[in-house]
Amino acid sequence: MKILYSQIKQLIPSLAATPAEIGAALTMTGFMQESLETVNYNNQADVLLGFEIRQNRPDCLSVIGLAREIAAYFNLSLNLPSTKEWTPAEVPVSIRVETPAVRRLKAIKLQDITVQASPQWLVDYLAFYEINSVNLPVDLSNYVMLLTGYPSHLIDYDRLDGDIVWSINHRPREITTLDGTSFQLKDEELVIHDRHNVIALAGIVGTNYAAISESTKTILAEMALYDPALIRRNTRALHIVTEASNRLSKNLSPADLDYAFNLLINLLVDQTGGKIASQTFEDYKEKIEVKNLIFEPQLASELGGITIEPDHCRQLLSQLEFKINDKQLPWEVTVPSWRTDIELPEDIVEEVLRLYRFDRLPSVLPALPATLDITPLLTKAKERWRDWLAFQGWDEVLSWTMVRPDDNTLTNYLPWSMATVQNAINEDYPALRQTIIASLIKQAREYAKEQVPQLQIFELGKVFGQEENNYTETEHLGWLMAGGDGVVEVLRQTVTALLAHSGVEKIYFYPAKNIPAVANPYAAWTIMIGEKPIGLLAQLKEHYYNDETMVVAEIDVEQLISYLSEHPTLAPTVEITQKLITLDANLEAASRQELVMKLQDIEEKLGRESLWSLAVIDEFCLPSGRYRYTVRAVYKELDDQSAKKLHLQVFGLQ
Amino acid sequence: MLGNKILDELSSQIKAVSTEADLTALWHKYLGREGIIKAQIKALAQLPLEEKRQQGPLWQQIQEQAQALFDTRAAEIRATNEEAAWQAEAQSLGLVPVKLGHLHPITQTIRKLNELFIRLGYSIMEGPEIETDEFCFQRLNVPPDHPARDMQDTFYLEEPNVLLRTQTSSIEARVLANYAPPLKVVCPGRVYRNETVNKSNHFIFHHYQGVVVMPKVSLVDLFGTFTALFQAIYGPEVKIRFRNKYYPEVEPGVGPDMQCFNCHGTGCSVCKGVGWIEMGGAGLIHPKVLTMAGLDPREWHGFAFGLGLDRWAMASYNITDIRTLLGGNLGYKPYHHENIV
Repeated sequence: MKILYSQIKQLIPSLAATPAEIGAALTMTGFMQESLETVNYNNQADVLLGFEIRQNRPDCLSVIGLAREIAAYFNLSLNLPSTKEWTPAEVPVSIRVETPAVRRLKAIKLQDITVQASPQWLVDYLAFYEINSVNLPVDLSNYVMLLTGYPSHLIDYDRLDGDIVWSINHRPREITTLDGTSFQLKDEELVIHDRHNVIALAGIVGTNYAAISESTKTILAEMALYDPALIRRNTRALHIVTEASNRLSKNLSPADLDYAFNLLINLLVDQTGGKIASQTFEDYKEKIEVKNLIFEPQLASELGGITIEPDHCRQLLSQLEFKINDKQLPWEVTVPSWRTDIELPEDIVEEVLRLYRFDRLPSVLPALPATLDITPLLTKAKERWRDWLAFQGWDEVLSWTMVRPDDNTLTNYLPWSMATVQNAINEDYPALRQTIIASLIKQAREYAKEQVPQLQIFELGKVFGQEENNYTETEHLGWLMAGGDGVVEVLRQTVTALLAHSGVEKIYFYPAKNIPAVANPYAAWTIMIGEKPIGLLAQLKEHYYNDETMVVAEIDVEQLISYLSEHPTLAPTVEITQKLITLDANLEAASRQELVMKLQDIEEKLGRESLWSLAVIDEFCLPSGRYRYTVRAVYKELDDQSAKKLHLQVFGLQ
Repeated sequence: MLGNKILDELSSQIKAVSTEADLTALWHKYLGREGIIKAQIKALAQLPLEEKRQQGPLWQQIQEQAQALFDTRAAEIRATNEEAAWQAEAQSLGLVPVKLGHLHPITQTIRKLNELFIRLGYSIMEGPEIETDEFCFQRLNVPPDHPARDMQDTFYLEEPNVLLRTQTSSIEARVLANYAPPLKVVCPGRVYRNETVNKSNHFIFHHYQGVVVMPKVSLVDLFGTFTALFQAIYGPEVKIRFRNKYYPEVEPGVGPDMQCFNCHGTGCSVCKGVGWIEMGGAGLIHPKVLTMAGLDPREWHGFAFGLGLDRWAMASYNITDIRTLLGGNLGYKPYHHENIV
């Protein structure tokens, strides 16, 4: 939402802050500054500020809404444009509201209107918001929308045929909007129509029927709020987003419609010479009551993590025009009518803290209590597998999980059907991959373009499918390797080693029955753990760029983890019941051969009962041409004293 | 222009050179005292003053470009020679050169964050990528037709209930529904949004979500955690600010920004002139989210944060095009022999 600095000054005359200070203030309190540009307006230099308005604050999709925030931040008062009361005529207007989707509607007829072009200030003003000038009455309607946030609609009354009706459209028909675009209505849009014609898609856009033109003399001015969800659905279904629909698809306050409507009628009467020609029609069945919340100011301190005194809290809330009705705790707080986003005490806490400013709160790393580690076994295992594979020379890739349907058809070997998205942005890639192999082949083709030798890639990721009309996904590990003869055996050994490393004892490769179309049917195997099929190993028909054989493998790691949980490994482990004692010693030798002989002798003397390990950890060439080696001996089953005694004795250091 | 023609010839000739000696010979041919380019520069002295002023800088530029071509090729030849020498040395020692593999930049970024949070006692959780509307939106205080849904264009498998998750907050919703507090959890994962793919946007990207539920937590705790996270990634000097920002699943909502690493706050094209870069979203868990998970918001409080990982990974690994991350043309190539054992 954009706002002119000169207009802020008009609304807050005592404001001394510069445009940059205003930008910084609103950024910190919930409205990120998006732009600041110097402009010329009304023959004077001005500054146009732009702010991001989040979905909870439709009241700030308006100049007055933003000015109200600025006034609150700087603790200044806001002067709204004044409006005059008018005397309605006695004639009623024939309006029917046939749907509860209309939350509030006000309308009035004006006659003797003179439709002319807008003055330059108005044309220039609307241009800042990328709104084209149409004519004075329509431009004034847009001006009021920008000022207050409430869209309105003007109808050429003399062209209407019968009652004006707000209803959910019940018969499909084609309409043409003001900009000449045609739409086919279904049966669920909220429309404004007369006996035969649709006047507007309510809350979104007017049609070219009964639009204001130079010949218009009588206007029906209406301002309404609708069920925001319905406007949002209609907007999405018809793919029309307008300034009006952007506001009316959010929760604007019905209570504040009066001011906006009065301002519109005042401006139309003043600027177009129109006269009030009817009663004010109003439909406001479910009146929104003033919202009072019980609030304990201590909550702001608790959630903020700092101490904010109740008086300070009261001050900050009053700047935001919240009314505190009690002196005793807890407070009853009256929420300003325009703040439809405030529903809970926690919402009030946010108001207090944002005006207090988050950047005044300290950042302290909390000493939070310990909690149970709920990390799944699979998550931990995946990290180990990644490390193991990288150490074995495999490169990890990540790929698109959305693929062409053909990619699945050619690579799938599992008994499930394809899952596809309904609204893929790229129509060529609507399918979710059923195998990692599909992704790895695409990756290999990219690597081939770069002529990368020694291709050894793996990916850990999700694959997807449908089983009995249910969508399923599971985590797979896939490999792709390119090379000469024996590459199939190398990958078979890698898969075997990974499974064995994970604790699987019975690993078999049986000739595969379900062979994907990309695979060589004579070189495809089902990977089995025990009696459970867990994946596929296959040579591909396609070759790598320099005619190397490509081989792929894929296993279901979720099944693997489940198998391991059911079959705990029986592999022997060493339990160290006593501490290990590490001691170093230096040995001199003329050559490595002599060293090896000396070490064999030492190992024999120490015996396997006491020796855990013996290793050479350093080599140093002496000036004499001989070598000095540092040998590290690790002792087990001995206490410190015994180990030291043995060490000194065996290495001849006593 | 003659200069460009000479450069074109040089480019094609330099590619064919594979030894340092041949490269030196070629350098003399072009840039040596009697070389082709030097000869042209010398010839400028014969030109009228005005023409000399025009031609001089152009030939100077050509000379610099030619020198750059030689420098690049020299570095390439040196690298190849070192590699060959390395391999020869390894063979003479009876050792086999072994290629070490790489982990993907996204994996490495996730690990860096996981390491910090594991030290802080957090668990790591993952969740389904095919999600229901309930866990992706409704349990996060985004009911059907809520305007906040406009923030995320969703891929549907079956509209409106079966979709691809748009955020890892869906894992938060599942953790809250399935595990009793107190909880400290981080959730890395892949997310999907129906956006056009270009250099800086992708429809598949990666999020990192953090959730804490305790009897008592505050914004100060959240800010402290976030600061530790940023310092772990960017070092202790990193400057962070926290501002108010609306997200439906939290109240109060927080927008954490990092001071622009490029301009250090003065404003540049990287930070779009504001001096700060938005780094995700955070806040105290909304009472409605806790209630929907069966927790009493008077007894339990929590904070949550979410970050996009792809840009962090790109910044850390000098990747300029987001498509590279999933595209099979990563900056690292598997042919570098990084170690010999």
